[in-house]
Parts: sequence; C-alpha cells; structure tokens
Amino acid sequence: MKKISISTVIISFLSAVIVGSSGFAAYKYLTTDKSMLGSEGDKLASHYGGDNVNVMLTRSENWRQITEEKFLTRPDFAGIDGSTATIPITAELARQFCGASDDTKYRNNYVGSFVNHNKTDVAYENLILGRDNYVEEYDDHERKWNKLEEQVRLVFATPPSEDEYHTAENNGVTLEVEPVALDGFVFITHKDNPVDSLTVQQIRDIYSGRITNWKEIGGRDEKIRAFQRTKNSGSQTAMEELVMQGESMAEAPVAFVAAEMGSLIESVAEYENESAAIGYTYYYYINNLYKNPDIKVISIDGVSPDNENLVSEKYPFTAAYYAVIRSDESQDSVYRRLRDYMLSEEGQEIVRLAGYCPVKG
Amino acid sequence: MENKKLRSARSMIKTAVITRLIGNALLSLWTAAGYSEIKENLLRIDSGAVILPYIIAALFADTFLTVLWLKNKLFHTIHLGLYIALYGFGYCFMIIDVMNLRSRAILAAFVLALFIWAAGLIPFIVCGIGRRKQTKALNGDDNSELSQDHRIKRS
Repeated sequence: MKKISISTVIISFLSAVIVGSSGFAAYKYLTTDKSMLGSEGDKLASHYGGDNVNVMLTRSENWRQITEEKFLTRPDFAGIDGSTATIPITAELARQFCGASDDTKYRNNYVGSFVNHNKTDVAYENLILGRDNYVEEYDDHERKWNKLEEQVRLVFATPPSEDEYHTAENNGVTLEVEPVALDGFVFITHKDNPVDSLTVQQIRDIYSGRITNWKEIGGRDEKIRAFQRTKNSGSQTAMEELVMQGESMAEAPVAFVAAEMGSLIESVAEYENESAAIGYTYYYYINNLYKNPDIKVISIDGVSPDNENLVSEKYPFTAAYYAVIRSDESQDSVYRRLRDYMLSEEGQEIVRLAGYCPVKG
Repeated sequence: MENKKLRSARSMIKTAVITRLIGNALLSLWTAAGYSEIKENLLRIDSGAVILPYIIAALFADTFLTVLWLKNKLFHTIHLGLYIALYGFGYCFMIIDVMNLRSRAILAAFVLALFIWAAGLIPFIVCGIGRRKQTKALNGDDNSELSQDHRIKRS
C-alpha cells in the first residue's frame, strides 16, 4: 500500500477547507435575491466613497442682500462642516458674506467653492477630534485650485447622536448645541403607491417589523421594502430619536441601507416593485435639493409637512438643525460669533432665505 | 547527500505550498463566516458592485495554481506573474479611488492590504528558492538526467 505523506494529507485537508468554505459563501450568494443587490449596488455605487457632497443651489426668487457687517471670509468657510441637508445654510452664508455667485462661470466666486460638508457623522468626528476641513480657491495666475484648510470649528447638522456624545466625552470635549432652523422629517414612497397617509404608530410598526405588508395599512398586497440610512447618519439618528423614540428598528437587509440621502431617494423611486418601497428623508432636501418626480411624501395623521404645519408643530416629526461648536471655542472666535449670529434676527432671515423654517418666528 | 538536498528542496516547496494554502483557508473561512458583513463592505469598497463571486473565483484559482506548484515550476512562474500583475494593479487602482475617502477604517484596511500582499509573496519566494535548490540537487555534476539515471542504476 502506497504510503501517504503527512504533507499530502495537510495539503488535501487545506484544499478541502478552502473548497468547502468558499463553496458555502458561493451558495449563500447564489441563494440571495439578487434583484435587491444589482441595481441597489449600482445606486450605492454612484454615491458611496465618502465624497464630499456639494450640491449646487440657486438662490430663492425673493433673495436679497441683508448682511451688512461681513465678519466671515472665504478661509473661515473651511472651518464649517455639516450634513447634506444643511448645505443650503452654508451656501446662503457664502452669498451674504462673500458675495458668492450661483453662476459657475464665476469660477472662484462660485458658491460651491465655499461649501464643503462631509455629512453628519464625519462632520462631528472632525469637530470633536479637531480635524481639518477645506474649501477651494482658484488661482488665476497658476490656473489651478488651491485648498484652504482650517480646523473644523462649527457644524450645521441634526443634533449629535448618543455615539457622538460618547466620542466627545471620551475626548474631553463638550459640545454647545443650538437649534437654528426647522425642517420636516418625512416619509416617502413611490407616487403610484395608493397609501397617502400613515399614522405615527403605523410608521413605527413598519420599521420595527410588526407590519410587513402594505395591505395591512390600506395598500396593495405587497411586501413592504423599508429603506434605512446608515448608522450615525443624520437621517438615521432622527429616525431613531424622533420617530422610533427608543423602540428598536428591525435590521434592514444590506440592499435597503443607503449610504447617502440621494441614493435612498433614488432607491425608493426606482425599486423593482415600484410602490412597495418606503424611506425617509428631510422635506427641504426632497423639495429643493433632490427632486424626483416618481416620489411622493406621505402625510402623517393626515398632516402634510409644509412650513405652516412645521411651525405650528401640527406635523409630528419636526426636526431642527443645529449650529454646534465646542465649549472651548474662544469667546472672540469668528465661529462662536457665527453661531450667535444665526440666532439673531438677521441670522434667522438668512435661514428663511436659505429656504428653511426659522426657529424663531 | 544529494538525496538529502533534494529532499530538503522538496520540503521547502511543500512548506511554501502549505503556507499559501493556510492563508487561503483563513480567507475562505472568513468569507464564509462573515458573509453578510463582507457583502455589505464589498458593495461599498468596490463602489457598489458585488465582487464576492470574484473573490471566491480568485480563491479557487489561487488554490488550484498553488497545488500545481508541486507538479511543475511553470505553474509557480505563471502564478507569481498573475499575483504581481493582477493584485498589484488592482491595489493601485483601488488606492487611487480610496484617496478621496475620509474613513480611517477604509484607509487602514488598504494600508493593511499592502502588507498582506507583500506577505503573500513570501511563499512564492520560498518556493522559488526550493525550486532552485531542487534543480541544483538534480543537476548534481553537469547533466542532471545522466546524474539521476546513474544514481538510480547505482542504487
């Protein structure tokens, strides 16, 4: 009988392990519903990468110059970070303080070059850990864009999540959090979905997994495809704190977790079973920044999220955007001054010009 | 003495093969065990496309080629060429895309990947040394076949 060497046994064993475990992973992949993966992956593809989100806006029709004392300069904008949904606030500040233009032909003065928001979670990390952000300035002589860097000193975003507060505490940082603007936290579905309004409890039941079919809430006999955002994104934090209020959310299949707000909106609009998808975002975002004709906003308890209903708090999910600085920010710092300015009458008018609902009147 | 050298050379080659297979086994176990997390991360790292099938195919191909090192040095050479060209190219390609990322975890993963890639070259090098030793041991004097036949006749 031929003697089998130990090395042959070892090699055979390892090969079997490789084939077995790879085969198992292949089996899992093949048995996954790939209709959820393919197109959603492509949508995530176009937005993931941690790219800075710079959405270019046009000023409102009734825009006017209101700021007289211009204490903010271009380099100061590098120290401002924030969420996707608050980009218009910083953009409006650029128009008011630096005369930024909405026209791309004014290269160096284009409003987009003043704004660099890295999304909520990264912005808070930058603020707490003292990291730098940057804006760009065009050098006409050398014909290239130069980066102007500054430590992040002010964040415009939804309030910090519990994780973010822990991170601040662990780094010996205290945050000063002041609301400066209001927005509606809204739920969206495809325009062909017959459901126009849901109750607060129904929303909670959907996202906790208790309601799984649209027919249970007056819709078609279809499985509900509930999209979520990634953990610590502004939308996800708002969903957990404003809507779920401590109740656990059912874990979403990976294909239903969107890295960016834009990709969530697209996913809800373009999901295969058109009317089966539901997602959440901010009213200002979907009405101004990322319009999609295939989407409609769901009323909550019959109340739609317009400005009147936000200010009167008839709409139940009113979210505030905050100006957040570190408590060790010096008293004469331009960022502390900016934070206080946003709460002034002039600052609140800027919030209004940016298209949001002011917190004060 | 020559048999000893030959045995030592073959032992080196087998060690290189086993080392590489251990690495592949760990990777495939990790792929199977962390399926859902990897799927999510793969979706993200590769800018959304699902690359899990390619990972599995690469594991199979890599394992197959590694085992063939025992048969003929040509497979070792082909495998080494593929390893440097494809993995190196893929790494550089991903690095370019990654430079815009802010996530420290992603950046750390790609730096680590560089070290893993470099460490993966070690079995190739050991096998290459083993092959050279084997060739030297077989060659013995001038004519390797004649030497071997001569030794067989004598034994």
